[in-house]
Amino acid sequence: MTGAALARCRPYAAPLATALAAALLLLGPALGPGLLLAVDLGWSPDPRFTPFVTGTGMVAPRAVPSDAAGVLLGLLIGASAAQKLTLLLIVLGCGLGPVTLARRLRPGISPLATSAVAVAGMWNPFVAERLAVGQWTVLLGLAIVGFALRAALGPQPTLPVAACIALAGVGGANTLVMVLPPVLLALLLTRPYAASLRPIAAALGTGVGVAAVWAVPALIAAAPADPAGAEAFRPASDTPFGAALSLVSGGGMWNAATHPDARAALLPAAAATALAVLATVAAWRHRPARAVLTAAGMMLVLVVISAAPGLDRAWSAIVGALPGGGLLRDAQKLLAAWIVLLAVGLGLVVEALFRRPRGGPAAVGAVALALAPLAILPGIGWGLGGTLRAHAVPVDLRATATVLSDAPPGLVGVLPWNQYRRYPWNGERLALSLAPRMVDQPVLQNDALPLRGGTIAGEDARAAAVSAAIAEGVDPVAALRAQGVRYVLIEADAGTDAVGSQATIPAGARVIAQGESARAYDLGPAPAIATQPASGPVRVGWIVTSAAWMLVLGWVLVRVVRRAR
Amino acid sequence: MNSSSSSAKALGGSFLAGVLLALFGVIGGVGAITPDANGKPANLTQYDSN
Repeated sequence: MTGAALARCRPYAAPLATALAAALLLLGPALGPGLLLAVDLGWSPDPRFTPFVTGTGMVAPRAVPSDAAGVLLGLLIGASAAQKLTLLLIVLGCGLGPVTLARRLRPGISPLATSAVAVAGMWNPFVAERLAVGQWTVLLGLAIVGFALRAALGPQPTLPVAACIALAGVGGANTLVMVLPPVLLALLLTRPYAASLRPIAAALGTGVGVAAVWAVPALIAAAPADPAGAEAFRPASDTPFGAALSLVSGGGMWNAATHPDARAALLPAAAATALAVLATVAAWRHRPARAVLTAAGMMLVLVVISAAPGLDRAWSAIVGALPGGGLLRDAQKLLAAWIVLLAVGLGLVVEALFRRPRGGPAAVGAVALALAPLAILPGIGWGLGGTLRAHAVPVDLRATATVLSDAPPGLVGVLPWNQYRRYPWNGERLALSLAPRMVDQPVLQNDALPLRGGTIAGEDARAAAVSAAIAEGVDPVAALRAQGVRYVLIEADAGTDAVGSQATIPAGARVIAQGESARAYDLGPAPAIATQPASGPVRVGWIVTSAAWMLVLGWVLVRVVRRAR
Repeated sequence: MNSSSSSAKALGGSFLAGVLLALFGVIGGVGAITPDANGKPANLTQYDSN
């Protein structure tokens, strides 16, 4: 590395070291041996490009292309290492993205202030709540949005913004919808209209290209989002101050089970709110930060509207009416730019205190403020208080998945009839069934979302038909067979009280794998069913998305080579 | 900047730092003893259960 390059990297040494320490402290046992399986975080111990992973045979592909990226990395370095590397880089990005933005907005900002920014970007209720439900693609959105806003503020934003959007495309729908809007706003707010057209066109073009892999099949299938989802996923208060102020201080995810305990206590909640106000004022007073504050503030207002009494109905109507509106039903994720703004604002306050002439006590205050996010949410450390823990997947479940993957092609029905499990070997933590990610066959599972207050309908008509038949008293295996299922996988350790765990296996069925964790049966070739989702649209989507990535990658390479000359 | 305003600012800074440190100390203590406000239903395979 040349001296000039070293000099460019030096300001990042302190925040990088701080961020690395904070990331290790935050993830803790999640980085241990085995795999972290937490609610929406499903990760196969044996990387396979299953139909679920690639989105083929899915009505509305949900895990593309993110799961395929994870599988690709898993094939290179192993599934466990791939998951840990992914989580670590994402959490680091949550801290370092705001650092790059802070350095752009406040050149020469001190290492103490950038370290404070890094801590605030990682150690906040947004990260804790999304980590609790294993939504790594949402955290990827938060990790990218800081870099993307920094790119939007640069002198030549077109390529850096396009590269950030292309990277967001790896996370899929959620990641993209978190990154694209605030970046477009920042581009519009920071330069004359004519000058913003080119980078905006590049961002939109890249966004459309990388979205094709999930957008094309979803739009062609035109599966409507259950409007009940907007109501169920409305932001919820996680502090004593109501939903709006909970959102202002960076929390407010709909799922109360994810809310850190300290958020419900008066003093930590008051301190978090005071810090958010302080950070906002600091961003407003620092003129270069106002455009970012405005863009992030607009995203905050949008999220608050989705939760506001009266206005939330309009939001539900939009979610139900728009094609792809289901993407907006969990609106709190759109807070990502606001989280970045809060981190940068806190850094500006720390910097102002630190730079005070002869301000010994002020410097002490600056240090205290830099550590404030840790003091306010002490319980989220060490994998959310030890609850996020990696575990080994049983050998017999892996063997069963391998047998099913190697069997002649056929639809696999998964029982119990619920997509969530409490595997005993996973500490009985709520987690997605691993079957669709482990079995290299098309899988039919219940895609409805079971909530305490009711069930949100899924998109797969075959799954809905199975649910209806089971509700009418039809045996689960017979209900699956009626939808063209050839193989039945029963995850035996998912609980005997679960729907479908006590299914009757037909006399002619052949056991093809049996273990403590899972059993698999071959019911014999099934009659062709006309309702199989077509795989053409997702194939077209993959071609368009891959082409978009290649174009942006080629563009980056050309720029790098030109600079090197 | 005269010396009286400097010492006044230093005093203000010390006060602020003291308040912050005390606040964070209290926060840590209260956070440690505050019971979980969220219900934790057991044995439910529901998306919004712990």
